[in-house]
Amino acid sequence: MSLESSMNSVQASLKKFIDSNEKYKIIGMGDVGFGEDDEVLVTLALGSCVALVIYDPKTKVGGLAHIMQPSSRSSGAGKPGKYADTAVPYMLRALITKGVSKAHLVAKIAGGATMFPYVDVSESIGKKNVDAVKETLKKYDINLIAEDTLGNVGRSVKFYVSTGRMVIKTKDRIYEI
Amino acid sequence: MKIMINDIVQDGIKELVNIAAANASTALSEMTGLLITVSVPELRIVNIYDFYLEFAETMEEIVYGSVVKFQGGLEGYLLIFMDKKSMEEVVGRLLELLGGEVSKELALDTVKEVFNIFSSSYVTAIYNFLNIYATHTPPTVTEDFLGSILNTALGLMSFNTGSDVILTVKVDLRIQKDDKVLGTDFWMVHLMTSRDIEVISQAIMSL
Repeated sequence: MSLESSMNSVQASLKKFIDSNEKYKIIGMGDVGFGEDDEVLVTLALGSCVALVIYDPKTKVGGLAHIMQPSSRSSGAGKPGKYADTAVPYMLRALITKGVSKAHLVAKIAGGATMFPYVDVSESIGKKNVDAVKETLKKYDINLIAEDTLGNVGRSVKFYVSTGRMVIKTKDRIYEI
Repeated sequence: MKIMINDIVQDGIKELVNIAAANASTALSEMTGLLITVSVPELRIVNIYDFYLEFAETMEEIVYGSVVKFQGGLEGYLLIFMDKKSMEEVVGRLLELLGGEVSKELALDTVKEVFNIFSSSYVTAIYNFLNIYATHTPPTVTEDFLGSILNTALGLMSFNTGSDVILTVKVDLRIQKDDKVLGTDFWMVHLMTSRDIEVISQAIMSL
C-alpha cells in the first residue's frame, strides 16, 4: 500500500472520530505537526506513546508531537518527534519562528499507557515517556496545564488549536481536558 | 539500519512460521473442537511507521490483542489479534464444553486462555524447530484499539532494539465448524529484528 493510499485510509478512519467539516491534520507516529486558528491536530490510537501539544492561546498557534520514546541518547537519529528530549526543543524553535512568544506557551499531554505489563519489563515505557516529556517541558520552562496519562487504555487525541481543547477518545468514552 | 535477506532464508522463515502457526492452531482446534486453518505466511521488510499507517482504516477498531516478547535466543514479538465475533465463537464453544453458568470473569479468563494456548504452542514450535534455548514473556491480553496495541508493541520494539526497520510475518487464521466459517478476523504477526534473522539463518543453515 502506498503512503498516499495509507493517508487516504487515515481520512476514512477519522470520519468516526472527527467531523469531516473540520480542518484536521493527522500526525503519525514520531511526527510533529503544526496548526493555527480553526485547524485541528489529530493523532490516532496511542498506546505507550504520548501526544504532546504546545500552543499559544493568544495567537492561536500550536503543535502536536506523537512521542514514542523518552530519550534520543540510546538510539540517536530519528524523526524529531520521536523522542521527548528532541520533540520539545524542535516544537519550541518552530513555534518561535512562527512568531509566537515563548512566555505565552502552555502544554497538554495524553497517553503513556501500560497495555502489556509482562512485556514491558522493568519500568513501563509509557511511564518513562510521560516522565521524560514532563522533565523536558520543565527544563524549557513550559507550563503543563493539563494531562490525561498512564493507565492501561489506548487513546486517540484531537487538539483544537483555536480553543486549546484536547479531546480524547478511548474504547469506552470521549472526554476533554 | 537495513535488513538484508536472501531467498533461502526468506523461504526458511516462511516455513518456520507456517509450522509454528499450524502447531498453534492445532492446539486451539483440539481444545475447542473447531477447525482452525492457517494462511500462507506473508513476509515483508518494512519500517515501523509505514507498518503502523497500513492499519489506518482499522486503527480504532476494538479487538482482543495479545503481545508476547521472545527472550534469550530471539528478541522479537508475537502479536495475536481476534475480533469480538471470532472470540465469542471460540469462547462460547469452550464454555459450552465446560458447562455451567458463565460469568464475565470466566469469559475473560477463557479469552486469556485461548491466547495463552496459541502463543505457547507457537513459541514452543519455533524453539523446537530451531533447537535454540530461549524463553518468552507470559501473554498479556487486552481489549482495546487495534492501533494502540500495535503502537505499544512497535514502540517497545524500537526502544529495545534501537532499529525502526523490522521483518513482519503475518498469518491469517480462519475458524470453521461443520464447513461453516465462524470467524475470519483472527490473525497473528511475528515481528522480527535483524538479530532474529541472523539467529534463524544460522539455525536453518545448520539443519
